[in-house]
Amino acid sequence: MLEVSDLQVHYQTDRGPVEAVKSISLSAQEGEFCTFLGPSGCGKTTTLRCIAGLESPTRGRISIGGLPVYDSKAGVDMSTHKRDLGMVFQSYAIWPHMSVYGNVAFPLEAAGASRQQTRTEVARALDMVGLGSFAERSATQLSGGQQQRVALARAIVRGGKVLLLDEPLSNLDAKLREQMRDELRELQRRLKTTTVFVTHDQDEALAMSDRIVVMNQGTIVEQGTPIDLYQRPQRVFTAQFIGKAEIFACETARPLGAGVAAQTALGPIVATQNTHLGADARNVMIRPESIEIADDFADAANCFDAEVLRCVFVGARIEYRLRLAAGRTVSVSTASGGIRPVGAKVKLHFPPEQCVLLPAD
Amino acid sequence: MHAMKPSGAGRTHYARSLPALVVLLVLAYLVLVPLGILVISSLTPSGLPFDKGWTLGNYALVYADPEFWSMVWVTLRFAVGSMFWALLLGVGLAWLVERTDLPGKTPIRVLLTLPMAIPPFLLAIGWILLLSPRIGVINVFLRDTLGLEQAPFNIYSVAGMIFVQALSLVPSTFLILSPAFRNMDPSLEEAAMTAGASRYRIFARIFVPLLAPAVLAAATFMLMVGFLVFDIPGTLGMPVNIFVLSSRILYLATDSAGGMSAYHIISTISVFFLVILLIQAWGYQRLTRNASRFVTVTGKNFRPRLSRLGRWKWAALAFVGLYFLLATVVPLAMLAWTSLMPWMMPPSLAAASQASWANHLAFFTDPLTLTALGNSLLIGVVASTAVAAFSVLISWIVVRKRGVSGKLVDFLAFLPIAIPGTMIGVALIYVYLNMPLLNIYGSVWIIAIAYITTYIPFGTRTTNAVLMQLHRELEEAARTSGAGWWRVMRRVVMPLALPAALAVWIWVIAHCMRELSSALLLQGGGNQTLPVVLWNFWVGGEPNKAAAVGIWLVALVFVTMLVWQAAGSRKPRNAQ
Repeated sequence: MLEVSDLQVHYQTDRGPVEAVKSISLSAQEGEFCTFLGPSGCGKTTTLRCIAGLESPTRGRISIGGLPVYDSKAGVDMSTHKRDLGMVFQSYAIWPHMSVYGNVAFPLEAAGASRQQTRTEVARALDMVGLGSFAERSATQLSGGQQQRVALARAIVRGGKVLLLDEPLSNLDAKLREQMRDELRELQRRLKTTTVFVTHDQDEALAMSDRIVVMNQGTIVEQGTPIDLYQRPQRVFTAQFIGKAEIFACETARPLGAGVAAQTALGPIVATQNTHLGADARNVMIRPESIEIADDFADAANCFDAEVLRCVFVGARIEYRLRLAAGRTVSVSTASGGIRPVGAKVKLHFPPEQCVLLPAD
Repeated sequence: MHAMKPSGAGRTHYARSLPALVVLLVLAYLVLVPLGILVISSLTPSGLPFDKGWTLGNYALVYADPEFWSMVWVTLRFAVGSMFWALLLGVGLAWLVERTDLPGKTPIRVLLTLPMAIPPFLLAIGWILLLSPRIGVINVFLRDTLGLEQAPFNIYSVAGMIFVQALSLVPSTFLILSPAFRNMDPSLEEAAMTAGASRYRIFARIFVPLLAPAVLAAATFMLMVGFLVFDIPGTLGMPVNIFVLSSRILYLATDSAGGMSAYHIISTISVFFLVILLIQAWGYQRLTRNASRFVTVTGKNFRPRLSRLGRWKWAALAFVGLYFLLATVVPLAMLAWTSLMPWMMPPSLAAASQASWANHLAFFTDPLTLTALGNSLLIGVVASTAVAAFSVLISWIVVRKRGVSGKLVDFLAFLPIAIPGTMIGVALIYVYLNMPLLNIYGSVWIIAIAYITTYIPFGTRTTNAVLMQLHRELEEAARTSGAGWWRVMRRVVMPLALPAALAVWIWVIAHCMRELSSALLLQGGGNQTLPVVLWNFWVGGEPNKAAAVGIWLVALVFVTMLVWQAAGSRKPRNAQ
């Protein structure tokens, strides 16, 4: 549906040339919700803007629905307005001089739709975003969340082949953001429009995506479903960027039963995830919420002595900071319950099925 | 999906840069062609650009002429003198209004901008009526009451020119400087106070350095204006053969030099001054650009610290009142009085019995003045519409187009700020005297072209500021909605730039209405504007008719300024 191959974007700045996108290839299936996730400056927005035709790539190929819209070799570079798409911007970009109706009707006007058709389609789009009764409002009288919905209605009204969303939730306050997140996902499922969503917020990415493309420094680090990327990341960057991660460097790793025993500064840690790495494993990763705390464990494997350095009660959970042997500290997050005081001596258990082997980064 | 033939990248890129290319060509035609021809003609023996032969003789001739150097010296004295006094008064007034507890600030702000409604040459005429050695009312009064041999004041002098020019520059100086005074974050001063600095140290180390860029920019601008204005030095200097650059060009171009237009001398003089003016313009642009380094506007709401005037309050009010009296009330009253008289008579009860509306009636019945009124309005509407529309387009390119084309458009649009009106007039004569297709020499259109060129820098400065604040995503949203370039411009950019375009429109029409220098040079066969008719009355020895035209001209400019104020105070619909 959407194909990007070997996309490169270089440009000149006052401080010299910048490789904003080094080489990116990906494809999104029909109806897929695909998220570009990465820190700011990783090239995710640039890639999105290249798909929209708002920015000119240096080389590569982009096709939408089988139609090449950019191809540096064949000399194809279709103007933005000829590409069949809809886009929601970070600032919403609601035209202040038009009514809500005028904003949403604009893409149809540009496409030369009849007045009757425009009226029906705009009403349908506004109903979909829950603004059915707002058509005659001036766009400037709307709240942030409402402007966001107008922007969304405008992006979907002409039923473009691809829906592009550039950090559309980042200007909303936390509560509204969660609500809009769910509504947006729901709407996309109903429309079945191929969607590319750009965000630096891992929670949004996890909650909404069919697939997450993790990007850093102009390249794709890895891609996969939210569950895979969280539970079995293949790269240290992914493990650290999505969720919290405690990572232990290991020198050697040898098979042990169903898993692999990795030799770390703490001693051997047995891991059963990503065992395919075998001897290439250089790190072991575990999530703070997977680490278990107890006074003692029956099984001695993957158990370590620790001392509570700090504990923070945050309501639903308790966040601990503990010191292990050799000065290493780790975070542990447990469900609310009895609090262990600072200075308490405890044992930590790393369940092998929660321990993930990772390559060198 | 039907197969769409992909267009070649080359063609698309060409199409995308087409608007920039067209604007660049039009700007080059408006700005570079006249300047280029001016330079070329300085190198031809006859001074006409298309004549055969090349020579440097004109330069040898001009630079060896002591009259040229005395003109340069007068221009320099005039420019520096008027800049100095305008700055002194402007800084004082800006400080009083923005940083002290002076009472009645709102009416004072209005009073300080009112003098802008009076065309500078009318201010000069008003002061001639007051201070000319022969007929000046004040001179006559002082001579008679004190029993003096000679008139105590002579307005026909460099000092007189500086005096009137400074009076007329004060409003713009005040308007340029007062935001800088107003927007200075008081916490910057408070921080110095808490650091234990004395009042003097705060003034020297905080106040002066923070305001220096704004004051320096204003000074450079005033200096440039001093180098290129015609109105006041032309009105006050030409009768007694004191010339500055602009008046010299007019003098040499019209047959006052002895029947022949000395175009070769004009071009050579012009090239000399163009170099000086371009350096000043470059300095001004650098200063205003670097001014953003000193961001004193933080977006926070604050009240500036106000100094207490105490007993000095009355002296300050008297100072403001005196300025308003000298820059508006007295010269305007004198003009009004003169316009009611059949011939020159000093104000007295006896003379008042002779007052009549004859000159004013003549203004509305004389075909000459009526044609001129029509010409002025037509030129004003055409030029201001063109400048407003073109400024939006230029600013869009400057703000949105990265790379060479944007920078070049920016440069070309700024360039005319350094070209005197008389110089543009002469250059356009060169261009259109021999233009076979565009036969507009002697028509109102050649004046309209001169005004479009002259006012583009002022128009684009306003529209640049507005378009810079227009979020580019507003346009990108339209493009991703399927709108092509023209639809984006027509439905999104232009409506959002409309308030700015309107402000430019009214500003330009008000200035077209009062512009004298280009129109004087380009007059011929029925294209006279109101200021030109007024000037011809004045020079031709009909001061009372001139005064009547002047009163109506002021009324016309005043009304457009009122509309401008009203349009400006209406809350613009903001882009988020």
